[in-house]
Amino acid sequence: MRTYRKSCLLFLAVIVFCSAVAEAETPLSMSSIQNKMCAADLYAVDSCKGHIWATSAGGAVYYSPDLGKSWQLQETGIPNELFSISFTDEMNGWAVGRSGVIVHTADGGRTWLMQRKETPETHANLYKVQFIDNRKGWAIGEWSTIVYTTDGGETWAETSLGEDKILFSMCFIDEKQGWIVGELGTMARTIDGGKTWTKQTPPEKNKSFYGVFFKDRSHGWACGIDGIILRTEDGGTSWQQVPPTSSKENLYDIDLVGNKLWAIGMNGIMVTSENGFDWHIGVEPRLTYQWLMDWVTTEKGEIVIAGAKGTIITSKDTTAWQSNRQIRLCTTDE
Amino acid sequence: MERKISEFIVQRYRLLLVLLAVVTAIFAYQIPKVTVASNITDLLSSKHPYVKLDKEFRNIFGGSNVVLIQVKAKNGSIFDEDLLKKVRHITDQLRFFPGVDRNKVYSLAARKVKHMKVTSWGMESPPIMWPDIPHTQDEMDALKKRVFTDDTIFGKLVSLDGKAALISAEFFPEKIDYRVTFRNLQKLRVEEEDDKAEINIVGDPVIYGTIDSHLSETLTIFGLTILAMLLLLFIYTRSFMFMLLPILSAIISFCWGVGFAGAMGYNIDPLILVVPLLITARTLSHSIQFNERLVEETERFCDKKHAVAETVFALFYPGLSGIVTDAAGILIIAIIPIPLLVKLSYICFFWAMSVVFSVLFFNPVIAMSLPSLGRKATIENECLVHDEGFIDRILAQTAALTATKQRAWTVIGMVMVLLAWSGYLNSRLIIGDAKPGTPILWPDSPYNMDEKSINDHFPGVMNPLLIVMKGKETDVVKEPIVLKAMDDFQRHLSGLTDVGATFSFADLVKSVNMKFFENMPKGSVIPESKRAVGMVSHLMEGSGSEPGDFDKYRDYEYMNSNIAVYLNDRMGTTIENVLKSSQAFIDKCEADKSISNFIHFKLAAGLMGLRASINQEIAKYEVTLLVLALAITAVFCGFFLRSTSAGLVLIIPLFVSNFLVFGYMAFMRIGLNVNTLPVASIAIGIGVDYGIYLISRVKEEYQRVGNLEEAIFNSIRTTGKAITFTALTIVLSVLAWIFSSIKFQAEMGLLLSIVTLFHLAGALIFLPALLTAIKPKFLTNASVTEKSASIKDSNGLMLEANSGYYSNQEASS
Repeated sequence: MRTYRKSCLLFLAVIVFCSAVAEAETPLSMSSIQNKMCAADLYAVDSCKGHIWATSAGGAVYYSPDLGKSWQLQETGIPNELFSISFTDEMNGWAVGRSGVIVHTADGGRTWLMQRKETPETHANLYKVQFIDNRKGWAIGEWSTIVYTTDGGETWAETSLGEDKILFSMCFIDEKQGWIVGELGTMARTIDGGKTWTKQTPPEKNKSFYGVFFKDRSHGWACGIDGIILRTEDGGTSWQQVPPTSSKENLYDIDLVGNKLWAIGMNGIMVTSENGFDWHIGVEPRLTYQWLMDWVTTEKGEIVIAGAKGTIITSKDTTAWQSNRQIRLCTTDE
Repeated sequence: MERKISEFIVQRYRLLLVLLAVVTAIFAYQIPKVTVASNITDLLSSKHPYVKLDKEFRNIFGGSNVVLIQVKAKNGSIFDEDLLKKVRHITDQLRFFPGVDRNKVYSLAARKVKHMKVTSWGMESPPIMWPDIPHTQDEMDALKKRVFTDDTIFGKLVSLDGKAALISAEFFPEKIDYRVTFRNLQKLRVEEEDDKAEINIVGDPVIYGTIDSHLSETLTIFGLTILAMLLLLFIYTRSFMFMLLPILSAIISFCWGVGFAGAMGYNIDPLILVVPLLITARTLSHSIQFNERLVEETERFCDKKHAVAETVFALFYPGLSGIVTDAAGILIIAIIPIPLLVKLSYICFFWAMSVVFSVLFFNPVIAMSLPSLGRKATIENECLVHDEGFIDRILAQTAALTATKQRAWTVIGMVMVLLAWSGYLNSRLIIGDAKPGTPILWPDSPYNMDEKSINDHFPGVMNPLLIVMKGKETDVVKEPIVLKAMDDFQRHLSGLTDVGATFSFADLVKSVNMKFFENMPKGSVIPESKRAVGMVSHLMEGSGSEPGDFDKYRDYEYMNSNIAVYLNDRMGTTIENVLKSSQAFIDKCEADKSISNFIHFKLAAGLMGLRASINQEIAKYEVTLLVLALAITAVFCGFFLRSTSAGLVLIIPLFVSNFLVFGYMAFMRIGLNVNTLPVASIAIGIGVDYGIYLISRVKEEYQRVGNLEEAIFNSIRTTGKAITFTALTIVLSVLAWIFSSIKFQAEMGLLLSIVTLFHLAGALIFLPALLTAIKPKFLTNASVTEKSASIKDSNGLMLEANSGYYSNQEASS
């Protein structure tokens, strides 16, 4: 009887042990959209106080609390591509996109509300949005559409350059002064917060411009098709073309970090300049061959770049770069 | 009835011998027609919607019979003239392989692989490298950039690290000859591999080729297994006659079974040779049982004719019942509409039924024909059973486990705990492949190493799942809402961790649209109108492209299209997760009239779609098969034992054992697939034999001692021993498969051993516990008719003579 009890105990022990072993095995992989950066194209990125947001197609906004290490999907509930995003603090942000939609969040992206709908009159795509504070903001897009608000997006006023040109980028340095650039040599400046615009003339009239950046009211740069870079020292009254780099790839965004200018673009190209005149390839070999669309510098000087197929490139200080699509190409024969 | 049969056999034995010889010769003549080969179409259920879908669109979008060849630079990158020459050479060679679809050979060097670009003159799509390999550094750099910036090539035909290039070739399933293809591929590998390049080759044709190349080894192991069985039986019986007659029976059955396959034009898959092996093992035991009974009767009557007639009278009916029960169990496998299993089921059913002739007719007939069976076999004195000791002690302990009602209930309780535990494990049983790589071969086999290397460089490329988009009319693929739905679908899918990448016609439209947007990514969208899409696709196809260039993405009428989804691996759970998530999206699209008025998304074609179809069929029939097998066993046993409760009591341990086997498989991460499923259900046949041996013996003992506990105790110690030896014979001989170069066979060997052991434990521990606990009436029913008596004593099947010996011995001691 005793051995019998013993064997009963042994049996139970074996069961418990085996269960433990079975339990200790790695759980099966679970599909989850929440924990993975979607491989969708990212059109824009913005940051505020360490929070990062990036936009994509299907009305998707991706939010990262940790400088791009992990991402969460924030659904805006609209199907449109969102081409640009702008946050003024960690709560308030606006995104604009296809067919002229504008959505707004007041809770850091958890919920989004439509501020501007697509109508037969207003369905031009909006490609860029910039808010300078919680009330004043501008958005630009197709058919040289310019819309602006002074009440945080409750109402939007609309104006236009009056021609069928696509406006791609803008830069407001304060609530009055801003510049816009666009298709086929389109360039303009405002000094009254966007109500009236003065056209400017670039040296190459048929080149399209995709990015513009002004350091102050005089010094600015614009970048665009075929790797073209212009600079001005008089607020855009006269623009000069800088010597081209070896790359002829489109540049989509330009920004100043510390005392260095950077521009990014097609095929993962990244170019840089110390003096704003002599430009050279900034990162070689390339971190990716996907297009890089938007560049944001955080308050601490960290950089986040968004691009095709969920590409995110980050850097603390432009000396070392990390890419979530880190592809070590054997471009040199080892 | 039995009397008539036995008289007929004894009187007409010469005629029967001639008839048997003639029929066997006819079947033997058919044997050379049998091919031992694997064939992928054998795995596909013609009724499954995925298979139908794949068949419908295979010729347009490409199918599943793909071979991938990787050329990998040992040093540096693939952008090297010599290495690219190899890529070109392999591409050219593949185009002339028999059975290849020449329009579906893709690589950097293929003319069909284009690089689209917009120039001042419009759109161009020249071949990316064809016809010339770059000679200068500038040309090479230009090629690199073309490759790296083209999503249709980078990551698909050139690896993301630039170290490897891929050549893919599709074969017509009905035209491919695996052996020839495998040989040609091996030749190509030897030719091209050198100190600069490593060649890796994968694809189902290669797996089957590999299995075929191990055929002689498989057959050797098969032979060795049979030898091992015979050797064990010889040690056990110590008589050449008793060894030879079972061999003859087995050979006759082999001729009938394999000859049947030949006559029907079936091929035998080398992977499941284990199943015929089991039937052979059972043929041997039936034959041995007959012979031993014959010896016994010869002793009694001292007259050959009389003894043979008496043996046939005693054994024909129970023998028939055992054989029919087994065969019926095998036949129900045919309910799974997978041709491989249906064929296996028919062949093995016929094979199992042939035992009626190869044993029940052949044995008496040969006994009549031979001068004498020789001296009486010295079973009692010399058999292994004789060593009183270890096994006896174990059996006594085993018997003690269920000796009282209280203990019996404890055992039942423990079994319940085990059941619950394996029920929990069962919920994690993986249908399909449980591990990455092919489970058929060892992880370190050259094939799986190749697969790993290619998967490292080209994640997902080996595991394509096609979601077909079926249009309701022509030109719907150009509808922006349709393309947007595809785009949304892809975004939905790419959020899954199991999905590596997706690609579709929508991607092409977007990328061309972006090119017309001066290469500005914000133009990488589906155009607003059908006209605009039409323009984009017209430009795409009208600019230097050729018919067939875009076949992968849509048909010529723009009615149907597809989304290619590349999975991270091909495990059953991975595929199922992706399909489930896809179905959720499809349901959403179906509900949206603006989409479902144009198109329907259909799951699923491509290699992974077909794999899913196999897995789903197995999942669908797994339970049905088990229930049916148990039900048939219960009905047959109940019928032959003349007791419904006997049938029920018998199948409970069978069910428990089978359930535990599935638990074991889940624990060991062995997937339930087309190869493992039949083994699990055929093993029920083994278990039922053991159960019947024991119950018959208990009945017999009860009539002798009149006390159920004692009867059970005695039965375990006597018949239990015989059962143990039979089980060990199967286990030991099946274990030879562990040394197979094909992992699947090794795993099957192990699984079969485990199944047999579980059934052994079921028969010796759980069944007695049940009997002790519930004291079924059919055991204690004293009125024993003559017929059930004869069933009882002969259903003890193979080792009745031994149990007789034990009861005698105990009686005398």
